[in-house]
Amino acid sequence: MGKLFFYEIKKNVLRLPVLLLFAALMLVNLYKHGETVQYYGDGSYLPNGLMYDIYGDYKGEITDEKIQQIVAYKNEMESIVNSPEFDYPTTPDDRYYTGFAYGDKDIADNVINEMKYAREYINNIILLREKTQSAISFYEEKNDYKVREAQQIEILYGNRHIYVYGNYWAYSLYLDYEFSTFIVMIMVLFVFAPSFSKQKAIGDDKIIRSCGKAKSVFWAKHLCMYTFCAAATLITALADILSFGCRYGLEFVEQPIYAIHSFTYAPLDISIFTAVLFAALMRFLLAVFIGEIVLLISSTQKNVGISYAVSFCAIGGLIYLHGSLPSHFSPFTMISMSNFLTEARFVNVLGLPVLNIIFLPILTLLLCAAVNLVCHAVSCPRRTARLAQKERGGAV
Amino acid sequence: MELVLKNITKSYTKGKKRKNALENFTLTLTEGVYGLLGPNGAGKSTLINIITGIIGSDSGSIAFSDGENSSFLSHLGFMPQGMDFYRNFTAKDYIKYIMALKKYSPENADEYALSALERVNLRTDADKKIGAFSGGMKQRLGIAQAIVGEPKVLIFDEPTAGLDAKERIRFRNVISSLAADKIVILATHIVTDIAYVAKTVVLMNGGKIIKTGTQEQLCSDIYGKVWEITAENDKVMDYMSRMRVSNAVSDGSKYTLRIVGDNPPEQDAKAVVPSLEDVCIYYFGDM
Repeated sequence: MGKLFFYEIKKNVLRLPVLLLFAALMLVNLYKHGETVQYYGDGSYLPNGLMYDIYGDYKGEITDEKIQQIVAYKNEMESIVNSPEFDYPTTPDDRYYTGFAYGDKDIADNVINEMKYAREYINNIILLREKTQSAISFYEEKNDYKVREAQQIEILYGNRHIYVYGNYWAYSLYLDYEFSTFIVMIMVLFVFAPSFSKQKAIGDDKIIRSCGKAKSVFWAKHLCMYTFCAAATLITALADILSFGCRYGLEFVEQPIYAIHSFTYAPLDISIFTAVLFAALMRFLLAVFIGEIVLLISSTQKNVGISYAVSFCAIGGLIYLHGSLPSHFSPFTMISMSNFLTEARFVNVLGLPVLNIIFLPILTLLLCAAVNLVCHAVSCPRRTARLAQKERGGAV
Repeated sequence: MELVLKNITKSYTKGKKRKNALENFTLTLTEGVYGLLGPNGAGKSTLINIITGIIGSDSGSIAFSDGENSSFLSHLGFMPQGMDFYRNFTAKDYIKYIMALKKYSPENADEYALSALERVNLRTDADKKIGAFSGGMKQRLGIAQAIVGEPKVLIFDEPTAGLDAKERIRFRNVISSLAADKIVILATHIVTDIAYVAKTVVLMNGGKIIKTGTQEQLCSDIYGKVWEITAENDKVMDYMSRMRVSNAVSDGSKYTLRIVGDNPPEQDAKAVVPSLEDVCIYYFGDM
């Protein structure tokens, strides 16, 4: 199996066109990172941005002292700006972080807002829990499912605090970034659409079956696909996080995911580091789902061109369907964490509320298993298995 | 060593009808080259697919007669019809890939792969990418992969299709050199390939053996049924439409026709020594 796996890697992955396409797409990816930072990132946190120096002074644990300092500083800047003799100078002054009092007033405001979000987060959660408790009272003896759902929310949002002021832009952009997943999907299609088709077209499938290795090659091919998906996901995810990290820094990765504003109501109380891994895992799972479909299509076609065309249409169709399917039934929801990890959505499974972020990966795994079974039936017909069994006894 | 194919039957459903692709096919094979000849739909491919384990049969058995190695598939080398290769593999890579498929692990895998390539005169090309190989080189690589693991039974399905004359001669020589201690089954439409190398010819049609024997036996069976006549140019088409013409040679003004049939086509027809092609024409008509 090990050797067959190696040869499947060689057949499918270690081809010049594959490596060239991947390199080209990674270059496009780097360009997209720049574009993403430009359009969606906060430029003031960049090394040449306005926030950079003041952030360096106030980042880390939020203390009363820091709060008093920044509020005092803001008040000072405000009084300068509001004084009648203030005339909006045009030359920078070294006494200020930004060179200007009105600039410092604005960024001090920003820092205060960030600290306020962190300090008041617990209040948000308390409010949420109160609403949840009133929902429980309201639905009691009326709707068991709603009660269970509210009870789950109460558990999920218990005991949450934010103690640190940090710059989480690198993680925020990474968790929302979708282009890498498209790269992996394109690569999976390009690499695996010819996999079984080519084997049939060149007669290799006959040799494999005459050696009684149809099943071994089937699993070697799938293992190759899983490995490729894992490697491609890992490489693109690392490229994404490092690229955004180079711009914004990769600090406070141990902080809770809800320290990032857009994840205020994240259903899981996990660290940013875990969320980064979780996002990569979801991308991997989606890539495997695509890989299973592409391999299934490939196993039904002898013509490599048709295999490419059908795979392309199938994936296009699934992406189109994603728009009309409920989000918890479409594996494509897992592309971006902003669709997936921002709030607690439940799926009613036999009266039990199951979190979407648990339901959808499991559903995707089940779909993968189902597609895998069909592919197995197509590429390892029972006829061959029966023959091999009988052949041991000398009969065909 | 004897490989016994016993009562192999295989039928397909076509529309509402069931069609026998093979019907109680029985044959005992010993070392040497067997040429499998038959028109399209004779059942050659079905037989090869069954022997190689690609499809199952409805009934029958295949086993070595000594019973020592009932698992004959592990003693099988196979070169399928229209075989091609992965262009990014080198010849040596490909042989090692086949070794992995056959679970064949000699002490020095590299040396073994080179020796297999040596036998088909490809040793010097061992490290070249297959994408750069000519059709003839690919065909020889096809033979090399079939002999990996020193199988007792070798099967070649239409191995010379698309080869030029020089490569076909080379192919035949390689096959002859392999046949000393192996059972070699050669299925082809090209009668001359079989005429040169096969010790036994198996004529198949309608899923059954029509005739089997050495070339000499098959030719002697139709002795007195192959005729040669001289015909005017304008009569040639008439002969061709009415009779089984195995050859027509023009000397400019007239044609010399070779005609297969139980009775002489003309009174002045001359009986000639039959060839294997004549045998095929006699049993199958046009192949």
